[in-house]
Amino acid sequence: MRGFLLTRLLESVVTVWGVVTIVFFALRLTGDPVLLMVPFGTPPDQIAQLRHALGFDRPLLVQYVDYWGHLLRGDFGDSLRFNQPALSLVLERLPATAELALLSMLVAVIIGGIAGTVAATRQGSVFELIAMVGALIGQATPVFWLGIMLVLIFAADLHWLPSGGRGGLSHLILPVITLAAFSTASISRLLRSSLLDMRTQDYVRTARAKGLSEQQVFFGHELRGALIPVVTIVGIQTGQLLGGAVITETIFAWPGVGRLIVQAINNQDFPLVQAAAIVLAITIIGVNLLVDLTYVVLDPRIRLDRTA
Amino acid sequence: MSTPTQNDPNRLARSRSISRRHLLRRAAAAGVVAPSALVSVTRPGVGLITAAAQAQSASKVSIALSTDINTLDPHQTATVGTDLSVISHLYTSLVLRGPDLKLQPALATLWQATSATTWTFKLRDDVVFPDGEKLDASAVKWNVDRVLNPASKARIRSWFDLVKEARAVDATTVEFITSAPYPALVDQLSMFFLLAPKWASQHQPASEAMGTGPYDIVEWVKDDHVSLKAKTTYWGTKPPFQSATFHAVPEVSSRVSGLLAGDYDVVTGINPTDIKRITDSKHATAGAVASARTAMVKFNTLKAPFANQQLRQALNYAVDKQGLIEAFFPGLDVQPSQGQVLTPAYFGYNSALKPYPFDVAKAKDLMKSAGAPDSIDVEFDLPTGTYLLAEEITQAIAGGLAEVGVNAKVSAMPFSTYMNKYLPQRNLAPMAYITQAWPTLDADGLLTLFESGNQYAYWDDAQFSKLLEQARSTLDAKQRLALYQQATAVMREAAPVIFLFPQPATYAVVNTISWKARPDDWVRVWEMKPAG
Amino acid sequence: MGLAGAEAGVLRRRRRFPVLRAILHSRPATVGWLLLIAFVLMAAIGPSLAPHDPTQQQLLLRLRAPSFRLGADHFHPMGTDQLGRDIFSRVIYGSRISLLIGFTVVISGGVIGCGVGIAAGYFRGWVERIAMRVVDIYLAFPFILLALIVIAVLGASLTNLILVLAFTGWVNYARVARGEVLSLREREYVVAARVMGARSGRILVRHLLPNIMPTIIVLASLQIGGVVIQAGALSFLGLGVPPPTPDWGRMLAEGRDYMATAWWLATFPGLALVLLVLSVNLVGDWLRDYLDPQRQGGGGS
Repeated sequence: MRGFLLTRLLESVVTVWGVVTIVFFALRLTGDPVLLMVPFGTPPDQIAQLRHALGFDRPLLVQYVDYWGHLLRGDFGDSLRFNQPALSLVLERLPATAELALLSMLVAVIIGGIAGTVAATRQGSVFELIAMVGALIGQATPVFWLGIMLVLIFAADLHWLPSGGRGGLSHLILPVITLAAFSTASISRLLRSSLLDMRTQDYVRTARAKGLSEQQVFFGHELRGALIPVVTIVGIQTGQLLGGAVITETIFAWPGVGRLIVQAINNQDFPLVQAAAIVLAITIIGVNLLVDLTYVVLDPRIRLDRTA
Repeated sequence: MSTPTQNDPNRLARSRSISRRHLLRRAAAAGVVAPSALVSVTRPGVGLITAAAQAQSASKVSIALSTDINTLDPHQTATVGTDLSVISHLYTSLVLRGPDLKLQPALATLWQATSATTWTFKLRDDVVFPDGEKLDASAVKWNVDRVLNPASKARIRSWFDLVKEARAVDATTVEFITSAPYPALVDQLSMFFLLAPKWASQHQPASEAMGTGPYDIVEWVKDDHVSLKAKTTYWGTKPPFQSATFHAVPEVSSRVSGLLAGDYDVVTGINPTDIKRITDSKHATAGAVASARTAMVKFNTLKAPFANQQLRQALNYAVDKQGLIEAFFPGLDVQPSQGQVLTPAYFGYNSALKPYPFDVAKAKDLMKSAGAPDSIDVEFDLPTGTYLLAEEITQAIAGGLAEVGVNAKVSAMPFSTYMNKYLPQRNLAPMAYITQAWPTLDADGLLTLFESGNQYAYWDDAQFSKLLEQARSTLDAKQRLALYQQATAVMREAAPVIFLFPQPATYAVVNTISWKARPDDWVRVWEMKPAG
Repeated sequence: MGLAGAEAGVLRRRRRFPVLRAILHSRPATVGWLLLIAFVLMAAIGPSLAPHDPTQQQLLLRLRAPSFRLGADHFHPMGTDQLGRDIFSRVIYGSRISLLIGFTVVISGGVIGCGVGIAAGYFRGWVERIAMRVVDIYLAFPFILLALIVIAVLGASLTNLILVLAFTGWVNYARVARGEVLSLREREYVVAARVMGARSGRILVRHLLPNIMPTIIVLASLQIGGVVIQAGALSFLGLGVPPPTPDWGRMLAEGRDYMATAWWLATFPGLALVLLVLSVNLVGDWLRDYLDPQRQGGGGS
């Protein structure tokens, strides 16, 4: 176990280094960040002066080494647009993002889990038909269409729920539905098909042949095994929701990390984009680690040293 | 995103080479101008709000804007519609531009040009920061010094390009010394908000605020809302609403939905097609005013094919400005630009000019005499996500130009990419959609963007540039006006752009509040009144 | 999910048109295939049937509700958009763009991903280590961030959009392909081939590739829908197919400001998108069942 964690830690360091390096140089290809910081019409000599003051006129490699120097001391630099430490700007928005992403995932796992199980255990029933048609539509509906529709109906017309912003539980309902729709659909479809796969697995057949009750077989063997691909998908999607819920955040005026990233890139706010990328990379690595640990719980045959 | 500002890259260079004759003339002009430039405080309507509005002061107002503010530091932003609007509730400026677009006293009660290169301001003596620090002449000087100091990396540094220094003559008198005549200085200072020197050096003005404005900040939840509450001791007129909240709601349709749902009282930047629906709801009223921001198609006149003036004129005839307005802004009070980029709100506006009429035959004739081929292929740069309905308008223009054989290929790009093409790469496409405004509402500023040698111009016209230069050498309003009339006439003829129309500023407001959007983007709670 | 093709193939060949029979046996598969064929036909010959030029604007006729009255100015069965263009014609032309995006992205992403995955799984050692670190870095990268930067650098165009989507999509194939190869490379016939001195290239092409193809095809078919949806999401952020190309995602994104006042702008391209994603998912489901002998009939209900 300790060896496993140490390897993972080393690998994570390489991953974070890679993310930082790619983001750092890719951003510099997008052009001069100073242009968007000053009012339209600012003369070039003053743009150059500000560029110099911010150190963007130095050779790229010097900037890169300098950035790492600061990073290793815990200094992520100041946002160009906000004039505030970049790291705290990202961390400030993390709770709102996490709240939305985790709640959506929870809803998706519960509803998707029930729907997938029902569909697999009651093959040919009306339940299966409803669950699977619902899942297909859920997977095919574009997020922003759904979000705007929900706002139009439940906020603008019916006045039942707030149109946006972060507040109490009522503010969460519409964005969670919007965000959970796709994940619910994919979880239920995946769970159904992997449950059906498990039926034909030798050890499940053996368990059944040994005379275990149908319930014991289902919970002890089938569901356990079928959850492994589901956990993988949940892990990947949680990672995506943490950084990529930008459309839902935009429609519901939700103060999350996704919107911050998009704004930061549009404003060429290099330090802020870099800080966000690092925070998200670490978060995603953490989620992946959790996923791997879950594998072990679910299937004792999987050993930690060779999980990919 | 791109709030236009005051500056002129050539001014410094020029000021060094001003001739003796110019200097003499300027001095004479200043002598004449000085007494009449005195502005009195006793103008009617100076009070920030009416007495009626004060009666119901317990209420609150909730406003939805398209983006969150970036900073609370008044010297690090030039964005009027969000940042500076919120900041103007917290801090005081020397002067303020009222809803009628005229300058009003704020901290300064009187101002005058005391020489060609000196503006003198008389200040109130009763403006004190909540912590007891006085907002006096030396505090004003400290603020100017802060912007001028390169170490503070002030984003609005270019506003003070011509300002050599601010001098505190006594506690209530400040002099601004400029390196050349700067007629629009006072207008520019209406956007310059004043920090408390001692407080600012011990706090983070970017994320905290302690000012002398009518409101105090309660909280700023980033990308969500900024909430304000009225000061108990404010030196000016008490504002009508006890508390105000600015929400950041990026999606247009969500702003409208939120208004109809009762979440917001005032929203800006709505889609013109929603105006009828909102007004029909009986809950709110929507409308638009012609803003001081002019939409245009900028030609890259420095290279083929639009180095040719006849061709540029031809395209001005080929675009149906009225048709575009009727299609995209139906029922709104928007008129085509009158053959100039200035709107009537600007000093220097030329009321004698007329727009190019829509005349395809004339356009084709001009193209023929310009020796243009039957079909011209050009790129047409379009910055996305920045200007109202830019994608639709650009495509419609391209569609119209196809009628005269100009195949404009629309090339959409993020605003940052666009700006990089525009400035450092100097590689703007032959045609580019752009909207421009200048917050001082002075021709010296907006027209400067077209002056020879200016990086923003992509146009090189000696006659036009000479007129601007002459206008800049004097503070005499009449003389300046005459010169700008000539300059705008030259520009209409030379057509470095396709003149389109002022971009409408759309808004919606619940029926319990009366308010109208301003042509210059400011959103100020004290200009809103409880209706009825 | 490996395929022991020989036996199953022999069984199937006893009857004529085995594939067709297998499709018709399953109702969802029938629906899926029919829809997909309809979309492909629409892309192939639809443009000659479209009543209008999809990019032709008529500003005076903008935002007109659907109308079946005959005559060039009136016949807009799906209404007109914010520039007065015929939405029906745009939806028809748009099928080309969406299918093009869907298939090119999946194929190019699949080729890259399989290449990396197979190399990593077969050669192991440092090749695998580097490949897997690169995969990790990709997975730790928010998709939006990558897409925004690439578009900001390269500019918005159909090609660049496909590039961005393929660039981010290959990782899934790499992981799956590697996993499959890892389990296959120790199989007896592969080991035997190696012992007999077959070259790596030959083993890869003759033994490994055919065996992992079914899994990859299934994965790809299930991803097409996701890709088309993702392209639409990028349009929402202004990064999708640039105007005036009639792309469903872009039409949907442009129509969102008119959903309360002119519902037809977003509804019809949205419906087309939903149906396309639906059809490729149904076909993907069927492929998975069909290519996996253990699951014959499993998803046939």
